Amino acid sequence: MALLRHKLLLLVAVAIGALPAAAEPPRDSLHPGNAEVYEIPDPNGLSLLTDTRRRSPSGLLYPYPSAPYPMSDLGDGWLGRGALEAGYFWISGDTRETRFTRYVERKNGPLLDLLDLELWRPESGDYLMLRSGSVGRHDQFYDLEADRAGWLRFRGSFSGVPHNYASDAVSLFDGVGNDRLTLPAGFVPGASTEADVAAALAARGDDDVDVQRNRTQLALRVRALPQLDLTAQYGLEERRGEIPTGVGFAFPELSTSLGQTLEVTSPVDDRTQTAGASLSWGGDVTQWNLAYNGSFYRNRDSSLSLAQPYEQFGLASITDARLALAPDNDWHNVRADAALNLPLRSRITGVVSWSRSTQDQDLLPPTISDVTIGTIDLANWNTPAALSTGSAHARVDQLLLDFDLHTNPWRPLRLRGGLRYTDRDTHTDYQALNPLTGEYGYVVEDGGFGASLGPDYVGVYQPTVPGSNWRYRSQPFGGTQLTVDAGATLTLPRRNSFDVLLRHEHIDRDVSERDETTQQSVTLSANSRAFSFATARFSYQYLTRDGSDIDYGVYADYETQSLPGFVPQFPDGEPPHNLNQMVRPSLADLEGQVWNGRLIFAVGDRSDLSLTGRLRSNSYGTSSQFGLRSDRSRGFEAEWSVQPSPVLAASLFVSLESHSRRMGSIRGFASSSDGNAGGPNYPLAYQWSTNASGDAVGWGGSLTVQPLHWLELDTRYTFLVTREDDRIAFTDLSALANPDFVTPPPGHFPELRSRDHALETSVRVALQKAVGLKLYYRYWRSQIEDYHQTGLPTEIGRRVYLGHQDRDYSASFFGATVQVSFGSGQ
Amino acid sequence: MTLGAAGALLLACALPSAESQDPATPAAEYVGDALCRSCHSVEASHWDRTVHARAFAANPRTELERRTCESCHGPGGEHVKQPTTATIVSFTRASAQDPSQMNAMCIQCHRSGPLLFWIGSTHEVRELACSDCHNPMAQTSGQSLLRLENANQTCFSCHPAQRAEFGKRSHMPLLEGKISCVDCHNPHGSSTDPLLRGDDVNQLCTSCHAEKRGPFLWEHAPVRESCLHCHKPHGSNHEKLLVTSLPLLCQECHSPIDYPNFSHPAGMTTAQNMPTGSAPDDRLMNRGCMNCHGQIHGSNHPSGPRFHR
Repeated sequence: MALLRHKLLLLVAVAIGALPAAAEPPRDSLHPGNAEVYEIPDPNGLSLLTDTRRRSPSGLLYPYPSAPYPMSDLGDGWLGRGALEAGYFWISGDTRETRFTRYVERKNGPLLDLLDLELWRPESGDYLMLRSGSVGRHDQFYDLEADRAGWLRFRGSFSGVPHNYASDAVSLFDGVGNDRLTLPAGFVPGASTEADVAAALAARGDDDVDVQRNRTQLALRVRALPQLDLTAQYGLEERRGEIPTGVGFAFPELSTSLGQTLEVTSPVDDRTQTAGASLSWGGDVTQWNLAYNGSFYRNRDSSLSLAQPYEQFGLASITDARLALAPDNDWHNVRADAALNLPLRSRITGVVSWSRSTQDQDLLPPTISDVTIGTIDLANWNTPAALSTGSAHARVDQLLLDFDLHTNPWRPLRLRGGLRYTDRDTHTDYQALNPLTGEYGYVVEDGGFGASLGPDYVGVYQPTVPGSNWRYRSQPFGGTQLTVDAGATLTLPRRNSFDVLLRHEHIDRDVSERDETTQQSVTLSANSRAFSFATARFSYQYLTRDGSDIDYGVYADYETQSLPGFVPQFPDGEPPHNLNQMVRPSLADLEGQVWNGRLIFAVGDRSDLSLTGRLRSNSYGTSSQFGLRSDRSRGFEAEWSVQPSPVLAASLFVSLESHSRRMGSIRGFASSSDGNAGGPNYPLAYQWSTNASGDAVGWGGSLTVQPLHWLELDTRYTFLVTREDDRIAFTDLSALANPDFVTPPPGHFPELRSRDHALETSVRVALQKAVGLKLYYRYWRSQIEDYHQTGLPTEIGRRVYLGHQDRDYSASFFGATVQVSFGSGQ
Repeated sequence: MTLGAAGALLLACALPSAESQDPATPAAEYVGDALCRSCHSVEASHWDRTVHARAFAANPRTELERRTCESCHGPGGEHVKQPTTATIVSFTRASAQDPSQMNAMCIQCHRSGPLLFWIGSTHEVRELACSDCHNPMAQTSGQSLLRLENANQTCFSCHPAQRAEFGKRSHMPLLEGKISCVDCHNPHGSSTDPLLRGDDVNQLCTSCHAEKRGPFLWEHAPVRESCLHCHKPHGSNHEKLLVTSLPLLCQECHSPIDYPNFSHPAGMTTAQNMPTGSAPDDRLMNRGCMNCHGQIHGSNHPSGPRFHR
């Protein structure tokens, strides 16, 4: 019988199939924590046997536990309890501001804001729990657990996550949320003036731009043998709505009468299914996990088409544009983890993980346009026949090998060493070759670029035209990474320890301006619990990185300059791809330090004081001054919490953080192929630099008090102010985007800042043992200033925006609910 | 060394190590939970509602589990004779054991699955005890017998900087209850330094943002390398969790050059280029460079090498 039961459980596990486990159940903003209706602290605490409050080994107080609630006998050995909370909520103030409702739904109306059911059969260990909140709203959640203790556990959850981007969007187009955006009635694509567009925009109302994300997860864990667990998971995540996106036709900065950009809505209507299954063995000597996980993304909309409103595009009237939306893709991962215990308190662990990402979406034609620009007839480019392949055939494989050895031959000394190897292979090899014309290249911005600048700029390779250089092959950004580390931990007397870790990392990239980098680091850390009233942890890391020579020439193989007949723009070659002394931060030379410290003090028997601090300093590119030069941050936090009695708990916290990023560049003017700083193309006189510094200061506190046995007050306040100050420096006006302006600009931008207050208070009044009244009050006040948005209209020249701006808001929220518990013995 | 010798060595090694044996003294006397409860009635009243109690009481699968209290605290014989913390395995600051000894009691059962990489993990090396984050003696949290009411609060008690980040202008919806620290991190150890639940950052991010996973026809090198080149994982003073302002973020890597007969917007932007300035520039307004390069995470359009389409 037992064997049959084992087989049945195994069968169930396998049949359910696969998904990542819901590590923590979803909640909502009203109940982000445990979400139980009744939590009455136990006056006895965790023990009757000691007056001293218990602390964790690191010295943090355990909170007073909730009193164990009684459960009613439901018959047949089942015990049960439940609770619900329902009432009415009112909001007032600037409630349409998107930052106020970014991930939550707040509105007036009745609400079942919590339902909590629990059944337990002690004899068999069967357990059933259902918890849900914000029922019916966009941020609702449901959490179901069904267990047979020690044998199996089933978890199912559903969570709605609204994501509001704008409630003040003004769309020129009809069809928001669809994959085809059309101009308003009366508009003819490619035939309107700025004034026409302005008039149309003025007549439009506000639109919401938002996405609703609904996530369902199911997970089954079966303990088939005491040491063997089987898990199976399935997840479904669906998104519906629209997001803002940008569409360009040529640089508006180039010519106010030619170029243009449009901010439009892009439809979101997709689903991702995940599936997974695993076996875990936890023996005395060996432990291992074998797992498969897959993720399958499907997008119902493969493209977004839109009509172009403006007249006059130079050589041709461009009336339409089409974007490719996120393609369907699959991801598979097979992973094996293993550990083997060895003598001398030694242990080897290993990981072999292999992943494959594939994408084979049918490709769109290179353009939707059908005009002729010079000699290039886009009718030869707006059909699938213009593609070298009908679908993407994109694939990335990744292999991870990771092995570590830990040994403890002498009690006070632990040694460890590890090796980690990652190999990422990109197999995508698309070539932009049009079989209809035999030409390489593509159509930039549906012809908008060429129509504005001339046929040489359509994007089609023309061997007779100097500098007809276009990317025509996909670039495989793969490579290998090898990391070797070794460390030792020395346990010292009086509960002190010291640890050192050395690490060497080498990355070899398939295609990169810097194909090899080597990084080395040493990390020292110390921990102390020597004093009964304090725990201290400190660490320091020093790291350096250097690498091979920087060579932007590697990208030539993927551009038409590598094809026969190419004529460079200048006698010595093509204009530089980038400033030679500038690379992205992950490739740059680096010298960095990181300090971290943490102190936990026991202040008397009933309070904690926790202090944390850190300092990070990265200096990049020791041989040059371009790109990111430095990246620094500092932070300090203090938190004091006190629990003088089961009916009183309070806390205060403060956090301070500052950071800065310094970068430099040179305004370049191409006259040769020289890409060096100080050369003819990048004269040092045209260099410029910025220092982007910012900070965040927050503080707050909480108070939970139960002055009478029937009354509880819970209040929290948080304040956070953030600032960003972007300062600029230059010596010659030619470094600027607009050097022709006579008046030098100020040396910095307006401060980018936000300032948020939040007060969250609730009062619970116990009317009877099983019935309570809860009153909620929330107040938020938020101010924001962002120079990217300040004064942003819906049209500037031939630029059209949705016009969304983050704005100041203040809002209040009041709720009155009745809490009813049943089955709890009342 | 021959293959056979290596095999023999491996077999010889594959013996239970000291760590894998019963961390409590096997020779000591087990007294049974009834005796424990006679003194520790409050502890028992809380523990009885925990998942451990449900499993150990109703469906013990091993001899260890049948010992209930003593499965974690070790044999109580000496403790009955001399009831101090020195005669029993305890899990608090006052314990006579060090964290590795406390943790060994938990590892008796919790040693595979997500716990497989505990040994050598950042938290283990820093001498954290399981009971720094968990309180198996009471149902304080909805799941996982945590010390505080949920995983986020538990993590924040040692990582307060992250709590502040989640309050910033753009942030992941953690304080709204929609995600949790442990959705991305495995605090019990992983094969990555930040204790990620994945082989690398991108694998983790694209588990929710699958539309950005690609692979695409045209890829953006830093995107393929790590999402963290451009985004902060918890919260940011900037829009979209960006690490710095636009267009400076793009200009840290790109210095487009002006051609003889046309100019890509280049050079340093100033307050003149703001929406209200005398020369508005797309790079400094609204979506910044992404006003044109809208498909910056990768494009699957045949005409998308520059992420326009």
